[in-house]
Amino acid sequence: MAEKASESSNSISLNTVDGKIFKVSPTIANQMQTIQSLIKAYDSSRVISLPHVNAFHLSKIIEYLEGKSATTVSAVKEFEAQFMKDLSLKQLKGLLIAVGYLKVNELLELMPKTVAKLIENKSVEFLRKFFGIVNDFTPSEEAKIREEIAWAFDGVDED
Amino acid sequence: MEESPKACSSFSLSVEQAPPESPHEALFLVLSYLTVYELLLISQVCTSLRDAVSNDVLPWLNLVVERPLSYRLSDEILLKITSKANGSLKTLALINCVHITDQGLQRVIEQNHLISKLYIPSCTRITPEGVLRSVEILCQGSHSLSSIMINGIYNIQKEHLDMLSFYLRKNQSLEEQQMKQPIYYHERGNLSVFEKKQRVIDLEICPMCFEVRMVYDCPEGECNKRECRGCSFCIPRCENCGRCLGSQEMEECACGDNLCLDCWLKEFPKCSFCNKPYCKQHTSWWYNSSDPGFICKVCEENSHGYTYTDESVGAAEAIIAQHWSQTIK
Repeated sequence: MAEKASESSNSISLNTVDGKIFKVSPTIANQMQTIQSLIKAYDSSRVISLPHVNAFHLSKIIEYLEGKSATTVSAVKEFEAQFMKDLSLKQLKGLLIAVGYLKVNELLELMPKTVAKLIENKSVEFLRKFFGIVNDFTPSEEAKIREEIAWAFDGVDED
Repeated sequence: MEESPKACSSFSLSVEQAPPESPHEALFLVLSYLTVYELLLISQVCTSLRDAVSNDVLPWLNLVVERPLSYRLSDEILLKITSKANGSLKTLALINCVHITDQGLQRVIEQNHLISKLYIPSCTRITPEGVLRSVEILCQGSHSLSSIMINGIYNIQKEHLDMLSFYLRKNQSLEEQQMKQPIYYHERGNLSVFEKKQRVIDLEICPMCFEVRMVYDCPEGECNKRECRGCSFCIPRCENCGRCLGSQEMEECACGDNLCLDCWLKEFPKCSFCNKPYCKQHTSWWYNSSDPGFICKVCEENSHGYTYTDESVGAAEAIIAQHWSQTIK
């Protein structure tokens, strides 16, 4: 998929932390703000190394950007849904870091939405288990925070 | 694309060096995209997330209150949670918050002059005058307000709309800006607050009945008529695809909404008694029974708890047949 984009002569080479080189078209590269600013600084012939991004994450990002640019609105929605569905939670977290680093705005919007969907209507206990986080509150701290936000969770019936 | 989770973890960066008990760095990135409810929920998970939520300004710049919180939000609580943004609130989205009053909104607006998106759809206690006052405050001085949503606020008249567009108009004419952002009927429910391009004002004057209403466009390629813009009263639309409906191709759903024939044929399952599907908005309305057959709520209620099975239908048919044969005799 990356090869397809390299047809144009002025493609941009990206070197990931695990040494794999990706060639992407300028339109794709420009959608990653971090790279966009790097292109401006360098001349385009140079290989841009990305010490914080691995090959898997970059390939996923490129896959997303290519899939997104090609099709109509409803097809994009479908593609986005499938794209997020294919990711495991662990991949999602890692990819989110990479996306945050590369500043891919569209994904930076889509992915938190997906995570937000995951935690929708879930209990605190579920979230701890789901994300593998240990409860490090002391009982008094926990009671305090419960009290602070009681307005949101207590009293009123679910509608 | 295919990769085992193990390989993925060995690839992963400095993040994984942290002990597995503390939250993943990615979670902190997510915070600023969460709604208030999710923020409060996640602040209860552990100390570092609590601190990130309560001490950081970033998660609170885009404030989104949706169900189930919207009915519980009072003016005081709104003031409290907006104060976390330190006066630099960017988005204020109160979806259907029925307890917020004009005064409550105005107090928040007075402290946050940088709001660029003000979404208060169906906040029914806010009046058009209250909206006008708030928008006026925001449009003085630096004027960062770019988009408002006020659908569902009662009694908005043309004069109000004129005043609002007068405040909000920058360089382009309002109509020009509106045309670039079509609103589709079937997408009216999924409000995406973080979307960059939004209409300046969601309401406009319906070109057909000249009332202030939400005016919907026909989705591209679905309709060849040019003048096909209008409010939902003037132009009935398909609940699933948003295209306009002529009277002959309107098909009813079990929820009372209308579908075009194409969508109606495509929509499954259909009620095993009345043969109507639910539209996409109401798929959760199916009567839950262990029975594999689908029965819509209306048919379930009409059955008075007796489920229609082939046998009972067969029995009913037999009774009717008997009745007829007797009357004929």
